[in-house]
Amino acid sequence: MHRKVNKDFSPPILTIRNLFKSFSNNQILKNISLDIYKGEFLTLLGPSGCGKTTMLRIIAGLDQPDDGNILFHGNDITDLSPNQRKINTVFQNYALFPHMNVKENLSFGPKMSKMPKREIEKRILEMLELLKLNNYGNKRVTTLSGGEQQRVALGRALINHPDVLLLDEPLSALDYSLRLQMRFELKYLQKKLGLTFIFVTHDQEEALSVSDRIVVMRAGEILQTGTPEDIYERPTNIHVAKFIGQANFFDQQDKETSKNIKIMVRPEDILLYHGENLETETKTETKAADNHEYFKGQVVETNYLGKLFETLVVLENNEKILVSHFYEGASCNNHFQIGEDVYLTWKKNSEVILDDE
Amino acid sequence: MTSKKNNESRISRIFSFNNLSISLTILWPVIFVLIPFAILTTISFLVYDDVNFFKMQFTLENYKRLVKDDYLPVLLNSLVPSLITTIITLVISYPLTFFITRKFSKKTQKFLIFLVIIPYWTSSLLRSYGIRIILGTEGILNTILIHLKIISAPLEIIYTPTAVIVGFVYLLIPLMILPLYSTMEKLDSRLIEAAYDLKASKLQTFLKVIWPLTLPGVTVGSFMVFLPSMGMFYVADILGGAKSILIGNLVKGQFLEVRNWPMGATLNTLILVFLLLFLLIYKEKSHWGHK
Repeated sequence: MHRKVNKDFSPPILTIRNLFKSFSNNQILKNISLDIYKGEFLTLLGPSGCGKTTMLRIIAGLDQPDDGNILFHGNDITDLSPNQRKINTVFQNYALFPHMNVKENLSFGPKMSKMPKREIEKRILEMLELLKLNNYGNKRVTTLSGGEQQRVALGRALINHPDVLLLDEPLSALDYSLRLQMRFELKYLQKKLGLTFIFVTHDQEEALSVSDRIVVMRAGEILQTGTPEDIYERPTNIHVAKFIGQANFFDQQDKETSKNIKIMVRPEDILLYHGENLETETKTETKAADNHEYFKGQVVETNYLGKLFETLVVLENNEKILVSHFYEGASCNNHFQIGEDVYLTWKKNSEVILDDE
Repeated sequence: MTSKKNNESRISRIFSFNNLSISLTILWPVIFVLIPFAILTTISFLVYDDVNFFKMQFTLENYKRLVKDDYLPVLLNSLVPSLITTIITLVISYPLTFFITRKFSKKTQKFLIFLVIIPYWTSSLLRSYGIRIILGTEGILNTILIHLKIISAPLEIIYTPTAVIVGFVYLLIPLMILPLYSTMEKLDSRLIEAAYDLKASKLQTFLKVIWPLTLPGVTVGSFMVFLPSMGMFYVADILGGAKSILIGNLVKGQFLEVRNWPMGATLNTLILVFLLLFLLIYKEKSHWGHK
């Protein structure tokens, strides 16, 4: 489904080495190192204040790191100004030039790099076509809708054919349905043009849907780097498990080291049984699934979400467990009532064992 | 009964706070600006009379005199100090204000702009005398320069056009800084970053992004400095001695010394026409700013 990044054969297009950055005694980036490969859609994901935007700005050359290097095609570009890098940025609120029309915004970059007039004209037409803005060339950008401004911002960067395109939360200002649509378009454009995208977002769903590789950041550090499946199915860290999707945790002790551990299970991997049915219905299954422990609890809340049905269960030790399954109607066997006594366990091998931090 | 009640409520409606305050804001400029200007313009078409100031008799003689008596070159010359003043204040204020808006926090910015405004609250007449004390032949400036052995004989600045321009720049600079500040404060620094990101040099970023986006402030500031400087005849009197003639001095001379009201009114009308022309050009040029 997701393209495997060919790490072992091609050298990285961009290498970030031991990056440090502070703003007035506040450490924003703490020793960040990362390789970015040609043609990949890489996402920096994390809550606000995790340093992802600062990292993007340092790659663009808009901020200088306190320490560390940026290598571009193997050459150190750390000290180069933004206009000496073959990198372009799509800014968070687009930062379109309000005194120019769409065409003037698009042609700004090519004009600055002294591209021949005929080539500029050609590229403008290409961009308007690619971004479905054909009749918008002479419109003032201030009269455009959010989605249209978004496209112009994208076109203004893409028209320069950058080796790497940086996108700083480009979809966050759009409404939900437009955001979903633009996700697909971004991914399509990236594959079609074969560009390297570095995308910054705090929206984990967005990150999962567009990325070849996700870098999860927290408080200036990289927690985990991997494909969307890696990050969701096999988080290596309790914070990653919490930040990506929803997670249930069961406290336990490691049998050998007797260290405290947490067992993470996703809501869709929880099996939920009606209390009175446990004996008859599942005993046979249970024998196969050896070692499985059952937890007793009570349903305290149900949530109908259309496609999904969520059930919130409180265990005897007061832990809350979220369960979700496809909704198959109120008469279905896995429909539960508030107040009902239930038993629960998880699908075999769906659990992830994490260190308790 | 009912009709009386209706009448009362109608009266109270007419004298409601809304109506009164709106009428006042309309009446004020009508009574104190529009009507006086209308009277002056009318007088400019009347005949001079040495007893009653003017006679109720229509004439175009005053306007003919503008050309015949070589008023026009004098008028144009008198624009020069105002023009130089405007350029100097702009050259000082633009980088200064830009620096203030880019390098300081919002709170510090407000404080610095406040410092710019404070002197403006003192009468400009008093401040003109203040400048005379500084620039005088035995003034503070010369005393310091001679003590520091930078010059041996005092500079003769006072009572020259230079002194008038120094005075204008000092008196009017807040009027340039304030409109500049209001446009520069709104200038999104991400637009500047976007220009760098699109490979513009510092100079290109200034010419293509910063200057066009701050132009409304430049225009308003220039008007705010240029127009009052044409009328501040007392500054020219105090600092320029008898030598410099501004439009303001010409108008004042016609009204108070020659006592030729129709001619003074004619000069005044001419300034008014200039002003309206400027405003029209500005309105034409800045249409994009108002959507």
